[in-house]
Amino acid sequence: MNKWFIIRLYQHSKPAFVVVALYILLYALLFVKKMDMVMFPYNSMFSVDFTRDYNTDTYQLKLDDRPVTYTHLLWWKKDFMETSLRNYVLLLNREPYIEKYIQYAYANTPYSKFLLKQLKPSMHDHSWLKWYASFGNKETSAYTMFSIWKYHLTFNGNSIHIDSSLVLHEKLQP
Amino acid sequence: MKNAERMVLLILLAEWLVFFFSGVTFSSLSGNSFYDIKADVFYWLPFLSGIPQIVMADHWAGIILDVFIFICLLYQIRFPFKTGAARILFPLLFLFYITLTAYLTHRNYPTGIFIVIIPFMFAGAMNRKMAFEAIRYFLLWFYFSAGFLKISVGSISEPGHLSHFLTHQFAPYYIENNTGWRTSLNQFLIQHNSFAYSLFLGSVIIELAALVGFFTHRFDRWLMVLFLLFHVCNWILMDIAFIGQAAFLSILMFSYYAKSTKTG
Repeated sequence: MNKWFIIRLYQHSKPAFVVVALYILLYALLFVKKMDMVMFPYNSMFSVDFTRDYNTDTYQLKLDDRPVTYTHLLWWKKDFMETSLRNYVLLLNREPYIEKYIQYAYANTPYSKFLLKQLKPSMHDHSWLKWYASFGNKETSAYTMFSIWKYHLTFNGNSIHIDSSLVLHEKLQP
Repeated sequence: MKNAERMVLLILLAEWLVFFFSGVTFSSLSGNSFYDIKADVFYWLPFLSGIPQIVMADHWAGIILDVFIFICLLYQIRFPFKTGAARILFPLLFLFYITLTAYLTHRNYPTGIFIVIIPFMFAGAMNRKMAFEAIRYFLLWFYFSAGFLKISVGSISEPGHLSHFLTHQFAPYYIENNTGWRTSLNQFLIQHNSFAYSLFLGSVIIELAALVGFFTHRFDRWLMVLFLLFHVCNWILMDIAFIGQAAFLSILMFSYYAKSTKTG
């Protein structure tokens, strides 16, 4: 029982040993390359400070000036509403990472078009905002004006300073 | 052994119910057309198959999958040594994880929701014991590598490191005026970055403590307690819940049990 796990696994099942050994080798390679994948997590959580300051941005959807709030919701839904809106806003002004990656890695290949079709998020219209509002338990109508606001927070000593700016202002077609 | 396996599955069921009542399982996400995936073949394959898109487009498909996962979990709890339900649950929970996190920026830490099922897919006591042990090493590496990376990238030498992160974590609460003791604590730690830094060091030590588990099973229960403490603090300070990781962590309790009874 004191033998290393990998040795006991080899004695128990050689195919299982091969699978685990290959997994460890591949994981080591990906880890060195700093690649993060679901089955090979590069768990760099809170390792890198991207801002190095006391400022941050957050976003909020408003329906005719009524905010779609979410911090009162259970955590996963709260996190979903916070991060998906942020992602959506970021993609309004730049092409998705996946699009850039496919165009770079699969340029001039016959399946790049198929990859883009299946993997690139749809940003053709803003109908997702209607879904987002209903997901946040808010009703909308054909006359609802949708607006996304960006809030910039600065933490100064004992106080927090908040600036707001409009990102998107649109009435969606019924 | 049987009861220990049931305990892991019961925690997993509880987690699934929290996901369900939070409103983020398949049935609640239906109609969502926006996702943003990265360069990861484990996301690509499901999305290339079109399965997440089909499930999202059909409300009834979402309801059926939610109910099916619930039933499979109940069946697996009733018959923990059978493998059929687990072999169905693994791809379903993997699909759930992929579908949910395709919309989120918080990826990779709740992988435990489907990884914990892997040992239950193995028939035979010895096979299953080996699978549990392999998953246990994966868990230990998952936490240890997080601490290791904080040292290797140099964040450990930045006194303002945690305070900077804390400015991001509660921003929506301030916008919505939903303030309370956690936002007060958040402001306190932003203002007192030395104290925040000491907490950061504490979290790195907890993560590095996983290394002990590579050499002995003796402290598995303590490691589980430490990691749970880490996650509770993560929720209080960073507003990141650990639902999705609890059953995965509980295998440390299971591994201690299996070792002490010398079964399997």
